[in-house]
Amino acid sequence: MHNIVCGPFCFSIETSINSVVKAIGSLYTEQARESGEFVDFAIELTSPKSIRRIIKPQVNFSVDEHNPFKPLPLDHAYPMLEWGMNWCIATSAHQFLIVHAASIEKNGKVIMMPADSGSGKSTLTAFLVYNGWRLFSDELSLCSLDDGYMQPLARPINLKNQSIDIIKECLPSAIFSATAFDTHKGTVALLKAPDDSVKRMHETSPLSAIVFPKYIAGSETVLQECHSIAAFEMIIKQSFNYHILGDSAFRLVCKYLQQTPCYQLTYSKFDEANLALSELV
Amino acid sequence: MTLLIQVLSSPSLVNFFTEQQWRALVVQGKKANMLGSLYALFLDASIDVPYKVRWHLSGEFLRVSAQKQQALFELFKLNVALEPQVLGGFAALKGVAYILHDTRSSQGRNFSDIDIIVSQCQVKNIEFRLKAFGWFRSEIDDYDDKYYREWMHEIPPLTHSKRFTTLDVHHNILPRTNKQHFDASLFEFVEVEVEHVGKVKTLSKKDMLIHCAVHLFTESEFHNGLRDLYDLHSMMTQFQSESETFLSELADRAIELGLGNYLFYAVRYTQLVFCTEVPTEIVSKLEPYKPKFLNVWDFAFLNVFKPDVKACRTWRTPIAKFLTYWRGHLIRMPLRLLVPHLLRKSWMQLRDKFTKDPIDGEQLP
Repeated sequence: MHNIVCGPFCFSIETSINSVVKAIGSLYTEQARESGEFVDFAIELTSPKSIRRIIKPQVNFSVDEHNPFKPLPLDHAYPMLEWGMNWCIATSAHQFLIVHAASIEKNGKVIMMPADSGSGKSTLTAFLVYNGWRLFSDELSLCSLDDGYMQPLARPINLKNQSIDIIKECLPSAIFSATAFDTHKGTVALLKAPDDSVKRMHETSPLSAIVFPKYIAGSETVLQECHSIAAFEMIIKQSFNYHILGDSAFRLVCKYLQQTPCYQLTYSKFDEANLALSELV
Repeated sequence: MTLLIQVLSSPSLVNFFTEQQWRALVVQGKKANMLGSLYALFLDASIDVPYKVRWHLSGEFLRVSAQKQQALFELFKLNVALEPQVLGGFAALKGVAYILHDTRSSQGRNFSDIDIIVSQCQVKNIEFRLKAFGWFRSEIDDYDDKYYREWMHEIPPLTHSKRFTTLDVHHNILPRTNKQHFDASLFEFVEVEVEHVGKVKTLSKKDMLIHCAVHLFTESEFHNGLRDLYDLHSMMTQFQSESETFLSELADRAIELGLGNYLFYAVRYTQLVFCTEVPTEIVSKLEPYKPKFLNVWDFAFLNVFKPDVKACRTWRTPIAKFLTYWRGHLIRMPLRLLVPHLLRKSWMQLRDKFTKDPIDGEQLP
């Protein structure tokens, strides 16, 4: 049994699956807690004991004795845990507006980068948080409905396909999980969150810019201001619970757009993207 | 008695809760689909919930409130789609009906589908008309379709192509194959005026409660059993406090409709589970409708009206589930129809297991 604290949430994780135990042991070292913390989600990962396990072993994910997903191949157990944790947060933490976006912080200022899957936001985030930025999240940005501050999660970063090798090359000393092949998102590996980001995972910060990143191979780095109406549509499209929060989410997004500049970032080189973003904070 | 049931009966118990008890309550409430109801109950009683726990409850409350708003919007759309002059209109049932009557139990209550009832002779026309407004039949194989149409009291569920809400269109209260099958037009309907929606027809309070009892005690699976029993408890308590003669009239009405046995169950198990106050004269009025082998049904129902979590399961639970499962199926259809039906269903399941790939992570975020 492991209790893992990620920002405002505490997950208890029970499993005897080796790959998961190993991944938690190496990626969540700073976040493990003795019991005593109030558990928000009790997760169990088990391998079903059916005949199938001989030919095609599987893994089952359950949270608070509920199975929201069909089983996956046993090799995908650890990515499944991460996706399942995303699901737990996205479907119940409605004290936040939850946006499918990466968030990073420098000088006490947060940049939120909403983007579609495959636009390279996790890859860029991985590079940035090991080069002077603090990691809030690479996938679920939490915007507090009370004060509008951003809430860190500090969880491992989900890298896919070619970006795994690219980041391994940039960050030779960083810690990665084992790579899982042929998942529904392709090849997947997780990168450990920087220690400093984990240490400061309870430290919230105000949002100071919204950037829509786009990786285009071979392109120049261009940071261009973008119209707030377009930004508004994009944020709603990338939000997990706007339809549930309704009025309060609308007000929060309006407040952000009145106070926060929005940009479109086209890039192909991490260093240049880093420079451009650093000028915003 | 389980923690959830204790808290639903007397919410102020939580004032002395430890963190562990709160945690157990959240798990039970989640599994019983009642976190939103719990939150409404605490709001109503001005009970202060610690922050660590509160967001679990208030988040679910927000979710079901959005669901409620969506349901009212769908009623507005249905008012446009189904004109009463041409097709006889529709009346709202179950979860939506509770909202229309603004019952206390509808506060924070989770529900999945919108249930409506329409006149049986218009079903074909109505289905056709709903299609024009974007409501389509979900993917269903021919056998299931035939099962619904020949034997059931509703047509296969419809899903809206843009809004993805599910609509259950009933044309009767009980399956045709149920012994007590009767004409739904005997039920009493009332019109309720709803802001931004207009007039909507639904069951009268008494018949709504009787329908809730009939629906619950013909079920064969009880994932939402505790929630539905709580509806009965909450509505009986609320309506009786509004009018002293309510329960007595309710009993007369159930007997008049030939559904006394269902109200007997409703009264018995709300009393045994939630200690609902029911005057003794009403209990004795329903006494003749007591089923045979009441001890067996007491055992079965008292063990299924619990949150389905490890902490509440005993060796009795599987036996109780087995009994209520078969009971539900046997009142739905006689054995001569049921046996071929279940054989066919198990064969279909087995076939799907081998022909369809069970690995499908597409729902994962």
